[in-house]
Amino acid sequence: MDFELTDAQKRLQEEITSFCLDGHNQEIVSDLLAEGDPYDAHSWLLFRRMAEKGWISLNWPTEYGGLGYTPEEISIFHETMAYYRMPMTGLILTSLVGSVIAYFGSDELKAEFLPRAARGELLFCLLYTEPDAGSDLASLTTRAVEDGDHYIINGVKIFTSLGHEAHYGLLAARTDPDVKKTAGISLFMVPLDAEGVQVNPIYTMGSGQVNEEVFTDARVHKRFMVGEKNNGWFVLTMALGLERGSISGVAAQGWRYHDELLEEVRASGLDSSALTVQKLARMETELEVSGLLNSRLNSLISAGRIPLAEAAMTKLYSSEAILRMAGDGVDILGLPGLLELNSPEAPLGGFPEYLYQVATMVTVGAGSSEIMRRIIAKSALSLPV
Amino acid sequence: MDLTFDEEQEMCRRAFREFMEKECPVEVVSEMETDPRGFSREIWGKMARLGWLDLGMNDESGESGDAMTTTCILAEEMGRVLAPVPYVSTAVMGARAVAVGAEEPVRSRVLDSVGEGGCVIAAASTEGSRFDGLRTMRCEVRKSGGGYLLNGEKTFVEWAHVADYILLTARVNGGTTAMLVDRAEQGVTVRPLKTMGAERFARVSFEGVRVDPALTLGNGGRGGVSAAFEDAVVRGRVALAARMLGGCDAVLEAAAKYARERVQFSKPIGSFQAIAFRLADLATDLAGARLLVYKAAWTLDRGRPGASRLAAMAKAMTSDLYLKATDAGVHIYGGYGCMLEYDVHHYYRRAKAEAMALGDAERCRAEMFGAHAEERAVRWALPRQVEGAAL
Repeated sequence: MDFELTDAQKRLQEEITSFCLDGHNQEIVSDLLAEGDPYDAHSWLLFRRMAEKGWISLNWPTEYGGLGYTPEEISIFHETMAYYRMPMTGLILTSLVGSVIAYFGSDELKAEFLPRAARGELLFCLLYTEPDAGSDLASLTTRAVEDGDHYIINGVKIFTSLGHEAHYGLLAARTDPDVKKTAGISLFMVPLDAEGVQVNPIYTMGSGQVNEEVFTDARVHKRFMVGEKNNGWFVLTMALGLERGSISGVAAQGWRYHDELLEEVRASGLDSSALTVQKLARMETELEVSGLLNSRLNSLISAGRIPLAEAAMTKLYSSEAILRMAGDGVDILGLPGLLELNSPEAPLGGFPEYLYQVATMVTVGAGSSEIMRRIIAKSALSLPV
Repeated sequence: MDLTFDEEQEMCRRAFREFMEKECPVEVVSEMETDPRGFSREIWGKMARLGWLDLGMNDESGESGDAMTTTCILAEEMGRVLAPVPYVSTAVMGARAVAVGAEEPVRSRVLDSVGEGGCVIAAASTEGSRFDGLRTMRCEVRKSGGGYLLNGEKTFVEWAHVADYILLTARVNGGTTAMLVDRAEQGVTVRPLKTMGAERFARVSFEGVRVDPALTLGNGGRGGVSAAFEDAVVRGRVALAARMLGGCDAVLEAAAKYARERVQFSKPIGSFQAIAFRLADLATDLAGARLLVYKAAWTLDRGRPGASRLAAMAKAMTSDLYLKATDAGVHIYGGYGCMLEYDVHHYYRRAKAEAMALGDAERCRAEMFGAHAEERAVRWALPRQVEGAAL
């Protein structure tokens, strides 16, 4: 066992920190914060700066621009960026879709998408979830019907982060309705400005926006299929696993919140009663444990294991922890904790009310807590659930 | 970072588990509840011969030492079977206080004796109703004639009735000092207390007990607190936390097995989410708590800063978890959970005392912002305010 970062990892952390604390980058972050949804907003300028560092492609195979980082180093990247409130949604999505293309796409698709995406010229989103297919994703009903060199897409996707900014979405659609539900799904890269694709905004708590995409006889060329026909469920399962790398960012957002709360309690002579101390201590413990679960996951992956239950535990624990601490933070601050983001007299710049609203998505997105518990119950405890 | 156990540690765990399962079936645990001595000399002797009672002492080797880590692996395995032996107070707390505070030749004499299984040490950390830190002691040592005399009372001292020595702290000259008191000294009275978990607690009073200068373990630590005793408490907490992990693990394993086998509504009850999810949450918390405990142990082994704070954090988390796990365990067994014929009650009855020993969860969390506040690790620096924007 070894609980310390290596010297190389510490240097990586310093490099990322200095990027985050760079004056220009901090200004961009401040501007996004002023607009009201700092976590999910997208800045093309910052996105290109991250691309220059090679960070969009950091977890791709090295021949496509990957940086050869270990799982632990990828976590260090996400943690540090999250602590400094860099808007990461665009990078996480583009990086993830890029990995799927790199691992499963045809050479033609790789050449078409990967170099441009790595340079920060393309933004991708995920088109998985449907109005009636959330946790039970395999029951999706969006159809892709072959028609000559094309597929014709009909259906509705929903809750798409950055759907209104992205150039392409990775779409999961049913290509064979006559087999069991996981066996007839295929994936496509769909241009969101194509004819027959309509992107509608959905506004969410915390000044956020996700989107709904309505496909009406939208035509997508066959070469945009990612992986083999009807093998989409397998690819999706792998892709959901890749999404895990960014979980570590969630706990780091929590660390930032915790550190600011602690400063506030100390500096402002705020109530530091026994109860406040208990809450802060519990927060810190849960953040520490979130980090440890994530590092253990990285250790297991580095050792060549596919730790299904451990990944679910990490996601479950850290997302539940951040939701809890968002509420505890408001309790510690009292009613001023409800003052809106950016309002002048708000403690912590009004971040508590923002986090309290957006944290509700953390226990839902990328597999809800219930789905995580089910995975844990099945694979760690062999329960017939 | 590498948060997995290495091959040698896995081998140790297998050996510990095999031994504990063989030597300490639940019948032994039950039998010891009514045994006058309350612990198995046989198991204790075998552990000594295997070299397991001085595992925690070989940590002078610096970088490569992993004495506390190995101790935790052993404590976990003992916790799984509820091994009735005075391990933590003797081989972890007592041995550590002596190693840190005693002078030769007493140091080697006591440590050798502990290693050989020849001596039992009881650790007296409480005076009132609960562990209240090391500054509020009322026990006191006063100069009298040519020597020093100890007066006062310690409560809920586990294993005092069989101990050769009692490890304690007392006030002296405005500070505190740690010492071993020979239980056979004149003026030491041990009155056993019967408790829920059949713990071998006793109220121990000291009336003009002669203090042997060779058995005093130094003072002059932080804030006048005995460094030897503080060190013993920190390590004691980590070992207790590890022992509770073992208990949680056993309860979770048994409850999951029961949930797979028990059929109601024509299905195994483990197929119901109300049961399965409760167990999944426990498994998750247990995995997290285990990493926290081993981080504390690793930090002690490597002599890194922050160990006391991590020990408090780990003790707090495992204390809460052990209560939650034993509660769930009994509940999932339903009526059978209350039956003495089933094993889960053993864990349920003992969890409270474990959770309260050396500071309950609230106490440990409060210490994170009191006694150990300055050990707080700063992971990232908060960014400075950028002109014209609220950060």
